[in-house]
Parts: sequence; structure tokens; C-alpha cells
Amino acid sequence: MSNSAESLSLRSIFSVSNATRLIQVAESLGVFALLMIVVTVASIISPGFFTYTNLTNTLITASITAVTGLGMTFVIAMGGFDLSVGSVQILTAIVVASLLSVVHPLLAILGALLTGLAIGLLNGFLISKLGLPAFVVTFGMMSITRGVALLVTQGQSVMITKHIEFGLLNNGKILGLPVPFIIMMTVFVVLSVLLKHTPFGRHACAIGGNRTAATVSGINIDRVTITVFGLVAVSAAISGVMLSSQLMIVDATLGTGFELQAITVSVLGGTSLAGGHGNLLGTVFAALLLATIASALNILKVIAFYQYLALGVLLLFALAIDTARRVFIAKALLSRA
Amino acid sequence: MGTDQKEPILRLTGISKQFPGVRALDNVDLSLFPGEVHALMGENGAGKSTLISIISGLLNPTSGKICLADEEVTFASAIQAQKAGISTITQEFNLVPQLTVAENIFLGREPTLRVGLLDWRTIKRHASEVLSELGLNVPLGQRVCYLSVGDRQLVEIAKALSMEFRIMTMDEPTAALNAAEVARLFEIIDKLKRRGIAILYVSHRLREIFRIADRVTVLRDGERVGTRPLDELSEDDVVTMMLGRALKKEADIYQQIPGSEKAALSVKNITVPGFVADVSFDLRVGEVMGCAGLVGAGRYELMRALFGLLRISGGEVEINGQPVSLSSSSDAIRYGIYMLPEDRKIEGIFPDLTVRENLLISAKRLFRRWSELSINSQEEEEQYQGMRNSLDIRASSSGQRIAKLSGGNQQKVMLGRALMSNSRILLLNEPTRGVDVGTRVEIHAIIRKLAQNGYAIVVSSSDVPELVSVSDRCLVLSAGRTRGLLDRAQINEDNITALAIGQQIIVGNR
Repeated sequence: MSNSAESLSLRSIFSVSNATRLIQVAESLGVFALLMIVVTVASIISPGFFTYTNLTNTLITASITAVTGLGMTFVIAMGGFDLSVGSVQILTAIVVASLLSVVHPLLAILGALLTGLAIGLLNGFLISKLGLPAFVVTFGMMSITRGVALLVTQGQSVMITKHIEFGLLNNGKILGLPVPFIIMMTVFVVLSVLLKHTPFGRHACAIGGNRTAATVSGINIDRVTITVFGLVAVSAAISGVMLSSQLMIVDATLGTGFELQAITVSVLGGTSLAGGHGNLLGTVFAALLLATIASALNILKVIAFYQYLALGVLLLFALAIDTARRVFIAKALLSRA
Repeated sequence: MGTDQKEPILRLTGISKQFPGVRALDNVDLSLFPGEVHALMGENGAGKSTLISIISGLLNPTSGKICLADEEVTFASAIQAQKAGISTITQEFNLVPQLTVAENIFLGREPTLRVGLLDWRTIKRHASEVLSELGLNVPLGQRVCYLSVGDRQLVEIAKALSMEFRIMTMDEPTAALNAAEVARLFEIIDKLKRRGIAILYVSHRLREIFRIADRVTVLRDGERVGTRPLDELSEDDVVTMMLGRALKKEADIYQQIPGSEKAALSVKNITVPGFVADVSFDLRVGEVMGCAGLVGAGRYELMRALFGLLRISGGEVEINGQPVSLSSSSDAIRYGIYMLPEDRKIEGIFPDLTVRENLLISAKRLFRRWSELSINSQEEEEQYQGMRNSLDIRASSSGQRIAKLSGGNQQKVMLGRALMSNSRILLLNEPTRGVDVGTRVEIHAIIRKLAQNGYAIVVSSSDVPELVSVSDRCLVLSAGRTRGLLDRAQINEDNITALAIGQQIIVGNR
């Protein structure tokens, strides 16, 4: 008697809404927990890891990846993805490095961001107005942009010699925090507000979740699509500027596989490739995780090639988790219906 | 009603719609008056959906006039129609599963603060107002994908209600609702009527129409057969208008077959974790067993488990006396079980394949014989023609894309697919959902005929009259458990419904 009453109340407490809230929390916390574990393990096995210099460098690397990852999260929420971000990153890194020798640093940065924006808008235009699949368009754009980068540099490196203060974007500190981290947090806050608290962001999610519903609800799908692809390319351009400032010498062969990193941190952070919602906080944690693993492998003197293996494994792992989550939700729903 | 004294709020004159090769609507007139519920009826393919799409701005008519309160209008998009005061509740679910209830209700017209940020306070206040009007008790922040199908349909209705509108079109709004939800919807329709809203209501369910509608317009093959006040008509009259002939009585379909005592499928105390507990029955050769239950009773899960798609954790399944284990649908087919899925569009048809390919998709077991690697199109065509004749499938050719067929004809192809699989045990889920009345009767007749020919059939359906007209016995589930197994003498709508809603009344023999 009391037993059945108890099970009944237990059942109502563990209702679907609680279960889903748990899932939502776990989406962010899962990767955070993983990050904590990796940090702990890395600090224990290699004393070189938990040093100020190394932590700062890791944070900078993570920030560069995270900025593009955050933009990527936005596109994935809209049900698309962008393979051209790696090429855009390097082209804009070259643009800013080249412009620094002729114009004011602020103008150089602006030039890089506008370059990114132009490519992104073109992506969005081809996808929405010509109805081409995002995969094809951004895949093509990845090669075109890389080609342009190789052509303008003639395969040579571009070294930043004028306006050395540009390096402050990388080495500078504000309130003791590295500037790249501040940049990343700014992007995070801006995108979070855009995604969650403006019609634009909600419309992007609506398009990713149910395109027909979005159309019927009067959302201008083309405009949102073009804007979002513009936005992700700008985020890649910001990463490009940050990369330029980190290396101070760039060439067109850099940044290969960067698109893979950006997609990995998005998915690992809990953003489903199925579209419909984006977990920006998770993306930040996942970028930190990725950088931590890379740094730990470095310190342990593991050959750099293994980092490709690690990235691939992480991506597959993230996708497996994503699928498992969808199956779990589907089951929870079935038992509810 | 007194509709004749008022001016119509919407008047369609001479509306025609030409699609490539098909004239979907031919010179149709329709007037809607404030405060009336106007039923739109017709068989599948009669042009109802096209007409609704034109009114809601999703399609433009090829010719004809649309007048809103005496002013001629043309809608370039669904949004323009919405702005003109036409609200639409569609058959498809037009919600975004990952967004919350409140976000969905205001999608596309979110109130914002001056800085461009969403005005959550207004959103929440308005959303909770509409929801409480609907009597829907779900958290506003709940993502829609976690709601039941019925709740989703109610959110969809809430979305429509939250707009300013004078005209509302409803396309099969009750298809996914249970009895209590339907009752609530009807209360709301009454309220809207009193507010002077004009409602265009599409449904296949005659009884609903007679309960809530004032007038009916019947379409047949794209033409208007007539518009009449419903209190002048009987159900038979409406059906005759729709078909152009009198309907064969449902009651005539059922004929007792000298039953075999041999069990084709014997289910003993099976449990499907989370859905079905301790269910047993024997399905005899030559028998149609109905399976009744509300949404969530575990009907579909039971069927899916018997087709190897859900894990059975306890109990036994025997086929022709042999215990079997069903761990995949190919197992089930090998044992001679075939299942028609509940949702034809999502789980059934391959929309881009031809009628013939759809029919024969389960007929062949690939790689069993090398000769089967090649497609013998002449043999296939013969098989198709045979099935087309026996099921009366109306397609222009075997090479027509199945998506072009009406729902009823698609369903016949699905039935044909089941027959082509060489299975003798058929699990039919919602065999006439979204099928017009004429085809519905035909499908029921086919089911009875198959049983006569020695098939063993389970019909799982939310449509109680359907169960009454085809079943020899009827299993009633509630919350995953058997509530009763009615024999023919006990089968009637009252008994089935009473058991399904879990009333503990014992139904005696009559």
C-alpha cells in the first residue's frame, strides 16, 4: 500500500521535465567534468602542465578555437555547418598581417573582419538564394579561399614587422587575464544574447528545428541564413586576427583542419548536429578541453601527429554521445506518450 | 444561426487551381459567415487541402476571386493571410521541437523590448493566458519535443489562438487528440463562435461535423457538390454527397466466419519494458482481432514488439505452436509476421519511389538467389497488376510516384505490400487513418476478406467504430495492461470505450 503510493510519487517527481532538465545540465556539465578530469590528470603526470606560462598558452589556444566554435555552434543550431572556417581564418590572418604594413592596426583588423564577412555573406547567399546545400557551398568555399590565400602570398610567409604592438592582442593582459580570453568571453556573451534573447537567434533555432514551421510562422529564412553564415565567417576572421597576433608570421598553409576542430568543440559541447538548439557554454568548455589535451600531449612529448588521432577520436566520441542522447530522449518521449 | 441576414466575412468565387496534369479545384464557391462553423468535406483528393491552402495563403488560385468583407484580396504568403486575420491550424505539426512552448507560440512575431531583445515578460503573460484558456497545463519553458502528441496539437491551437483573427481554418484538428481533449477543443470552438469568428473545419469524422458544424460544403473531384445546413441532412446524405452514391453499410461488412481454433500467433504474458505488461492472447487463423486503447495504452508498442522492433523482456511468443524469438523485423517477416506502421507518411511510404517499387519492397529477400539480383520487370509488373486489381488501387500507372496518390490509395499499396511479403499474420496499425470514408469501407472489406482467406489479422486502431466493424474479438489495453478481451457479442463502442478509459465496469454478455 505505502509502497505503491511511494512509487507513484517517485514517478511523478522524476517526470520527463526533470529528466530533460537533467539532460540539459549534463550537456554542459559533462564536458566540464571531462575537462576537470583531464586537467587533474595532466597536472599530476606532468609537472610542466600546471605552470603559469603553460596555462596561459593553453587558454590562448583554446580561446582562438572557441571563438570560431561559438560561431559554428550558431550555424549548427540553424541546421547547417560551415567547412570554410579554416580557410577563412588563414586568409584573414594573412589580410591583417599584410595590411599592418600599410595602415593603422585598427583598419587592418577591420579589413580582416570585412573580408570574413564578405565570404560568409557569399556562402549564405549561395545557400539560400540558389538553394545549394551548405555542405557543398562551404566545401567549395574552403578550397577557393585557401587558393586565394596561396595566390596573394605566392606561397610565401607574411611577417608582421610594423606595428609590433599588434602582438598585445595575444600577450596583453586585462585585469590579469589574457586578451584572447577576454575577446573570447566577449564573443561568448554577445552570441549568447543573440541566440537566446533576440528574435534573430530564436529564428535561427527554429529554422534548424523545423524549417516548415519556420516558413509558416513568417520567418524570413533567407535573411536569417545569410546573416548566420556571415556571423560564423566573422567569428572565423576574429580567430584569424588572433592567430596572426599569436604567431606574428603567417602563411597560407596554416589552419588546415581548423573547421574540424570548430565542429568538434560544438558537438562535444552538447550542440546536436540535428539542429534546433546551440549550447554555447558547452562549446567554450569543449574548446578548453581540446586545448588542454593538446598541451598535455605536447608536454608529454607525444609526437604532434597523434593530436590528429586525438581530435578524430574526440569528434567520433562526441557524435556517439549526441546520438545516444537523441535515442534516450526518443525513448523518454515514447514512454511518456 | 440566421446566417442569411449577415454579410459573409469571406467569399470565394469561381476558385480554380490547376496543377501540372491535375485540376485540383474547379470553379468552387464558398462563403463563410461570422460566428459559423462551416464544415468542408470530401474524399481524399477532393480538393479540401488545396482550398484550405489557398485561403491561408500557401497557394495562389489559378483563377477566381477571394473577397474579405467585400474587398478583393490576394495573398502572396501565409503571413499576409495571417495579417488579414486568417489563422490556420494545419494537419502537419508546425512546431519547432527544440523551442519551448512559449517560444513556439510567438514564433515569427515575438514581442521585443526597445533594444531588440525578447520581451519575456509579455511573452510569458500572453502564452499563459492562451494556454489557460485551452486548459492546457504544461510549463511554458518546456521544450515542445518533450510533449505528448495531443499536447503538441493543443500548443499548435494555442499558437493560432494567440493571433488576432476573424477566420480560422482547422484541418483535422482532432486527429491526434483523445476524447477529453476533443471535448475541450469543441468548447473553445463554441467560444470562438460566440465571439463571431468564422471557422472552416475539415474532418473525416462525420459525427464531429454533426456535433459542431452549422453548414457543410462538400467537394468531389475538385468541384463543389453543394453547401447545405447540417440540420437538414443525415449522415448518410453527407456521405452520398461525398461519394456521389450511397455507401455500402459498414454493418454489412462483418460476416461471421466459421472460426478455426488453431492459433496462428500465441502471445503468453509478454512484457515490453516501459510499455506493455503481462499481455496474453491467441490470434486464430482466419480471425480479425481488434486492439483498442487510448494514446499511451501501449497498443503500438505491443505491435512493434511483435514485429521485432521493440525488445520483449518476458513471456513467450509462439507462431503455429513453435516458440520464437523476435529480435528484428527481418526475424518477424521470416516467421510470417508483417506489420503496417501507424504513420504512413513517416514510417510507411517511400515517397520518391514508384507505386510498384513501394508495393514490392518487402517481397524479395535480397541475395537469397542470385537470379533475384536482377529485376524482372515483366514479372514485377504482373505482380503489381494482380494486386492493383484485387485491391482496386487507383494509380495512373505502376511507375507513378506514390506521393502523388491519395492517402487511401497509398494505404491500399501498403496493404498490398504486406500481402506481397508472403506473411500470414498481419499487424495493421490505424489502417484507415487519414483515409476517406469510401476507401475506408473498401479497406474494411479487404480486411474481412483476407481473414476469410485464412490470414490472421490484428487491427490496432484508435478509431472505435472501425474496431466494431471489423473485429471478431477485441483486445482492450489501458496503461499497458489487458483490460478485457471482448468477443463478438460484446463488441460495441460503449464497451470498448469504457474499458479503454479504464472504467472498472464489468461488461456482461448481452
